[in-house]
Amino acid sequence: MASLHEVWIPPVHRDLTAGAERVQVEAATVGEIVAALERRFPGLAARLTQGDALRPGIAVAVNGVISTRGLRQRLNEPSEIHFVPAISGGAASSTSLTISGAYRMRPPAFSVTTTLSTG
Amino acid sequence: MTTTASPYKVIGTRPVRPDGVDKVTGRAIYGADVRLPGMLHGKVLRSPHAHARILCIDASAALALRGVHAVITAQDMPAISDKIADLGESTVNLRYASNNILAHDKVLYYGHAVAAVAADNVHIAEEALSLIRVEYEVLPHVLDGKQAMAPDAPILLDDLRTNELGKLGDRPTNVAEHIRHQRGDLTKGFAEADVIVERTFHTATVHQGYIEPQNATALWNEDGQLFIWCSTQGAFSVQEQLAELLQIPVSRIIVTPTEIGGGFGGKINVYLEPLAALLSRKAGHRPVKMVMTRAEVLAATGPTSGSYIRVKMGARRDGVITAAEAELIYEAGAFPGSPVGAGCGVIFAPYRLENVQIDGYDVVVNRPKAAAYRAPGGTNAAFASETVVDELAEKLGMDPIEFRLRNAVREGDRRADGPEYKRIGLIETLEAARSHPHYTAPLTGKHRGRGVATGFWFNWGGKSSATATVNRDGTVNLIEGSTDIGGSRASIAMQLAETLGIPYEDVRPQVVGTAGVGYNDVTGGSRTTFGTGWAVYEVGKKILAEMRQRAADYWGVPVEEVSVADGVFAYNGESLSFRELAGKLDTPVTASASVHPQNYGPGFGVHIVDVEVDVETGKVTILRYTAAQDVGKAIHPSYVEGQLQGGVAQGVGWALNEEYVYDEKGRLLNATLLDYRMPTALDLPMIDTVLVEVANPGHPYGVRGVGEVPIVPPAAAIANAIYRAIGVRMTELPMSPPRIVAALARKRQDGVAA
Amino acid sequence: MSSKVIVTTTINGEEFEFLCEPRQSLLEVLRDVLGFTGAKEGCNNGNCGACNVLLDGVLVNSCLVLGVEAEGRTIETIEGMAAGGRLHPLQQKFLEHAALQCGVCTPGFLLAAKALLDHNPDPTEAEVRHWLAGNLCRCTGYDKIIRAVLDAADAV
Repeated sequence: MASLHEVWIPPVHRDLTAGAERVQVEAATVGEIVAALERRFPGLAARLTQGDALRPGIAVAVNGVISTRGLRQRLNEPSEIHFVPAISGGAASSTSLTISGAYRMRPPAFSVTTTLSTG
Repeated sequence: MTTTASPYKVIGTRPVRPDGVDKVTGRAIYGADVRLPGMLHGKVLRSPHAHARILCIDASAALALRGVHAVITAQDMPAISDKIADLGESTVNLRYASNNILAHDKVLYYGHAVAAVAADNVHIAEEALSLIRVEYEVLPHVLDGKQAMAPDAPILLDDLRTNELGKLGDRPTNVAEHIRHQRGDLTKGFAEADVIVERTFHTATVHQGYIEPQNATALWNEDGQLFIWCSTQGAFSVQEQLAELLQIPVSRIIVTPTEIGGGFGGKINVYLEPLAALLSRKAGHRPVKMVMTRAEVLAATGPTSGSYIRVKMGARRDGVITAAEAELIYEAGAFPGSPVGAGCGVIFAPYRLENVQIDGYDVVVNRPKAAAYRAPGGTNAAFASETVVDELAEKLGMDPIEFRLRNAVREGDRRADGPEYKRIGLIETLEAARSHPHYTAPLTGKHRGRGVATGFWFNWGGKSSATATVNRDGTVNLIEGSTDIGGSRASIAMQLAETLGIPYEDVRPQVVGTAGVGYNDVTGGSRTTFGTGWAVYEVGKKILAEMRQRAADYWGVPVEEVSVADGVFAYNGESLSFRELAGKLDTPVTASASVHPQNYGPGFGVHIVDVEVDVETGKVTILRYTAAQDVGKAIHPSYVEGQLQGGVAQGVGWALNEEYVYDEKGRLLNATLLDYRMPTALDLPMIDTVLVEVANPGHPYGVRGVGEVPIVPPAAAIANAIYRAIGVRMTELPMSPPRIVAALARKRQDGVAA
Repeated sequence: MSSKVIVTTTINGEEFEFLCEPRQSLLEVLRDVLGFTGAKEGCNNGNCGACNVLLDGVLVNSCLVLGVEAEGRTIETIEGMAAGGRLHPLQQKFLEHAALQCGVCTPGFLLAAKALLDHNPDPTEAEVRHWLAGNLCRCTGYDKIIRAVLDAADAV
């Protein structure tokens, strides 16, 4: 059952919404909100999401409470939605290490001798 | 002091902490006390340059030294270059993290790790470091956030683009992130103002200053199992970081946290753990222990950001703030991740604002990568905004607390970043400060002044797990995974005892590692007494439910007919105490719970300080200090007071003395505790505390986090007191003697010129 | 590396004989050779007091004393402070006053405070603060430490 929600557009993305600060969106989940925003304001979804999840560093607050479910968060009643920078208390500056999945590293550019030749 | 009877039996009392005797007898085992058979000792070679390309590393002479068993460089870190097509942000973050552990192609700050050695003892390892030859191509460096934003600044990270909440810039930059909160109409707001104050502030890089240096001991077994012992704020966080950095399964890593000698946010990121692990594997699977020197701690771990902050605020004659604008530039160190986001949230948090704009910039510079430090980013921000608020009150001729009350946020008010506040206790805390005898006590004498400031912190919930077992004698063993940095074993055990209705002494808590309990987030974000307290509340409820069932079985009656109160199970005039029932259990009772509570209530503090300024030397003496704070519910009031007092002490150090001093080549000049001047017992008076208890409706016992709020107001409160004492608005931290003397000289000059 | 020296010393009333490199500090010897890990290394240059021990009754930073200097001397460490199965009044008062948070500086504070009370059984707050200014604590703000020492002085 979709209900009508008030979505606050992050100030840095109001270039896509002609300056609109708040918009009304009908949706049953946060993911549906992003999809509806994308239909009205093309380009917004790419800024907020990566694959099927919110971008790292972005969190969604539903009625002021940060959701742990992200895009899958269900919205059972008319809600106020904010997309905010992810901050987690005293660990605020260390969340950059909550990494998963993809891993790639260039081999070091310098030459190294750290094994003793047996000769 | 409240006179109403407490509904609690254990909560609110002040028992001795469970680990107390171990800690006053020297028996408690901290990370550096770990010893394993066949253990080697590791040391780290660090960059002497602020910014340089590594051309080559030759460690053959070091390896030839007798007693040296292994040398590692970034080439020993996993490099899985063919595994991935997509270079998402998370990948970039991991590369940065890996680079901070061991410099990959460039060193980005003085003290950046370049190589590490394992040897028979520390002395041989140190000698080996001196035999490693590293060729560098020195590059231009930049230490200052504003300079790093200039178009011609040296670029630290070639692939860095400015991120604006998902909108990526298109050119190389040192600005990792731009945050903006905006609401209402600033132009209209400032037009309505009768007074406007605008000032720019600068704060220095400061360090957490925990007394115990970083340490780690690793044993990487032949079967691929990795064991880690270390001082950390979160064993599970260490496990996760290592799994990513070393690219091994989480289950292959067992982290056992030792006692920890202070953290304050600085012992969340790993530094030595991956090095010790790699050295252990390379040295033939022998255990390797590594302990940093104090110089390494200061040069290469922790600090929190130096910053530039501009604040402009306007208010009407009736005392209502009409507009507020701020720009925050935070130095992240060598890799992105300053606490500027939190700073943006803190800066105007205590005030009800219709027209507001906040811009924050996360800027990389050639300094060590910033780590969390107690209310990360909050002290910088509040120093700026609370000084401007004080000046507005002064210009309006209003009492500074009265002015704050006029604009204070309450339930239903909207924060600058959007969401509405739930139940908060700012007004109660301001009123408590105003009615404290300190606020109205006469302050006489030359060059003395009184200042006040407010502070805010979000607090945090996080994930917590705990397990408890009922023993046959009715005592309870509690297994938890939250590192105890300041008495949390006591505050957690007290909440379980309260829930079960048994004495505190009957609960024996133990902190275990990743192999012994469900997942726990770090002890940080002021979350442990809140979040892990919530976990043990759930554990307690489960145990009571199970015990009630057992009592019903014992009496052979339906469970609904058994009542439970204060640890006594009763049915039809018969009763069994918790202890008696425990003795009758034929099947053990054990319960576990995992929680991830979101209703962490934010906290506010109001501080009052009296200072005296020696106008000859510039030395500021703290004469009297009072910290009032909404703590929700003080589980163990002594340790809550201790959090307030400790936060104040760190704030005083930040305000008056502490700073990183670099030379023109970007080398840290004051990497000792004599030169990095933290407060001693002689620098502080007794610190009075006022615990305001506005229960957090989001916690079974009303708990709010308390640890971080108290470091937020001190710098501003002291600056405001200094102004009252000598008539100078200080806009730079630290307000050290040379800066005070210079400010007084400027004032005299201006006076002459006027 | 020069050859090791045999050192004989008395620690907490017991005689110890150990081999010591001339470059090893007393702190290193206590911790790594003899296993007295109650003395902590916070700075290794005499700034923090976490390694405090009493050497012939005198408060020293053991990181600034060489191990070989212990020859023929008497050393008191935190491990010897609770005598006869009972906590020293200072230890008891530190617990009652919650005068420790992380606890890593606590052994040094306790020994420094003991040295103070040994020669000044009734110190003022200012004297306690002055005496303890060589010990850094980053957790407590010193308030409860000072109160614990003053209270212990009353109790002794």
